[in-house]
Amino acid sequence: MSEHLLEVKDLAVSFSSYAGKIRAVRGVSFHLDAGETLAIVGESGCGKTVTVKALMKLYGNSAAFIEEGSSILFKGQEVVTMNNKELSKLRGEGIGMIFQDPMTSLNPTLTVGYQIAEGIRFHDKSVTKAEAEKRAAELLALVGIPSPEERIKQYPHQLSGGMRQRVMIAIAIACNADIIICDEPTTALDVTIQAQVLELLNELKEKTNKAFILVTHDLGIVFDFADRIQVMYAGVILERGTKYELFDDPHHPYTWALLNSVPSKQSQRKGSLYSIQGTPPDLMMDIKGCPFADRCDYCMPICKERMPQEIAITESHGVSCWLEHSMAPKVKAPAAGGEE
Amino acid sequence: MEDKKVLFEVKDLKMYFPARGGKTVKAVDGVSFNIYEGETFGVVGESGCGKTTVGRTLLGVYRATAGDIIYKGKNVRDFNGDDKMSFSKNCQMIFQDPAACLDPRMSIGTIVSEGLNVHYKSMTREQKEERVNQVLSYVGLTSDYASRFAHELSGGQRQRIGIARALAIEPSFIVCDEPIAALDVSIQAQVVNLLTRLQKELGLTYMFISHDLSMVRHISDRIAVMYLGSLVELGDNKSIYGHPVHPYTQALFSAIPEPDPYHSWLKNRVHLQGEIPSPINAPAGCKFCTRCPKATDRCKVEAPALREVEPGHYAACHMLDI
Repeated sequence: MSEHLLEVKDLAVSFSSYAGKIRAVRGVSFHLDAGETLAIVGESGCGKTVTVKALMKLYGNSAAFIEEGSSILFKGQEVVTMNNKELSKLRGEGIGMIFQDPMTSLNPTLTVGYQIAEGIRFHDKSVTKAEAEKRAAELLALVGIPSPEERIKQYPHQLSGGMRQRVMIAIAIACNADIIICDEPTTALDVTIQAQVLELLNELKEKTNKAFILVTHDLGIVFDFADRIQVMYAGVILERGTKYELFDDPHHPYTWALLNSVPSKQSQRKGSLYSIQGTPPDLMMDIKGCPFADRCDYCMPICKERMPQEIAITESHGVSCWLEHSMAPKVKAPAAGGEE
Repeated sequence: MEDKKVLFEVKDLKMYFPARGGKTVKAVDGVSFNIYEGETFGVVGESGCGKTTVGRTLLGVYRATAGDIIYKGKNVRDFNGDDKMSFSKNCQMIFQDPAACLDPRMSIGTIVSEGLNVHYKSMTREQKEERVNQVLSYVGLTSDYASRFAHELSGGQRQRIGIARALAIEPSFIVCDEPIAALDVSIQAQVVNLLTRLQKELGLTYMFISHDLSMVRHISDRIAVMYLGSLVELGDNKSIYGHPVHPYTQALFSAIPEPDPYHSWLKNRVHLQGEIPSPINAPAGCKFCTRCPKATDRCKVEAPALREVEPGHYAACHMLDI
């Protein structure tokens, strides 16, 4: 019945630790269609990376597990119940991933050519070593690395940060995955290199009709790259919508705060930036109401009691906040740029 | 222009480090600038451009290879013991990674009061405790924190401790070396607001080193742009961001991500090819010539000097000669 490429329902992921269960992701639902780009935005520890890693059960030996009742449908197939063999096929062929830090995610003892070819040969056993290497060189050329025939023989330490990230992108697209997950793809890079890498991703997006999921904390890169944005906080989605809806008409106080805490070109110099007091909640605890209630400027008694339901503002724009309730006081979003 | 007192005068500062194979890393290669009292002097540039090295050399963490640093009219090379003590009392530093710069085995109180043991030897224990509580309240923490340890605190709180430690001995000048790089957006705003407030209240002078261009634009009065150990442009905030003249500054600023879906910074930016060369074998001539879209043959052989393009706005580029 599912017509979406990816459909996630009530996904909850927890970690077992010596002190108890850490509930990192607390029930998120979203979908993704071919050719579109979804951005997941939030601060560190809000569960954005855990969410995308769950999409291919990429937890290795860590103590993380997906809670019962979660469902991840990729092309109509349930990922949660997949066995290892099916998962291996999914990883790379179905969903590719670009990790945050290219230095720690590439193997320093293998040439980059081998690391790209490894995935190709794993998924298609009929490919010979020479063919795979040729394909690796083509991929390197595609991601904009000059003299790829020489580069495939080099080791990661011989490449610069930007080039390593390009190699990561080549690995992610090597097996023609339908979805490419970019987990903070430019956080470790300088601004000028960041722009180059984003431009490359944009090019791939236009050329290939792949679906992208961008995980980031940087709102600046989101608006240029994504079609839809969802804002996560403490393991739940607080607001979602197209980038225009979220920029023009944000409804959740946390989205306001995120947008206003970055100084923009218009913001007054040395004026005080809009800042959120306090720190995110402890994920070990049960959160009864809205997880943002403690830091919210507009907190009402109900906010600490019950988590608000998601309210649809338009078909694509949804927000989970009690302020949307008909009995709540009308508040206006604070003006961008901070006040003196 | 109002009368500004020069706090630091830096002349042709060079800082070279030895590298393997008899090579040298020219981390800072001849920079000159002034820092005035009461201002925020922003230093921006990509990683490896030498901005941290400038800050550290300024405070005497490294002994400069060549060049002069003149602090309040006196060359730091001619400092005697007393001068050195008063210099280190007046000039402090806030470090990038708040988790790494606090000793995990010392209580917050001990960390913050450590400087007092050196510079305020005559203080009694009660006075020190009082001082610790005072600076903790400056940075928005209660006195209970004095007995805690670094691992009990969040990233933003740790950075506040880093600031409190620097403030404890009442300095007049603080080098903030990427103070917000390790923090989340919402916490970044808290720390930047705190720094701005403290500057107003205590009349501090900051050197604010960061690669976060939008934050530097927000906080700084004057800004220096560095590339590969050299200063490429220097001027007040308005002229640097309003009409940058150096091709590198233009490219760098056009790469600032703007959260606005209607104006794509990515499509309108100045394209820079390639990456920053290694400071071990920096290109001859203008260091930016390998990536500069406007480079000519002259740029490859002759290094441009800083020239004044308008009052208080300097840039180093041959294109400005015409």
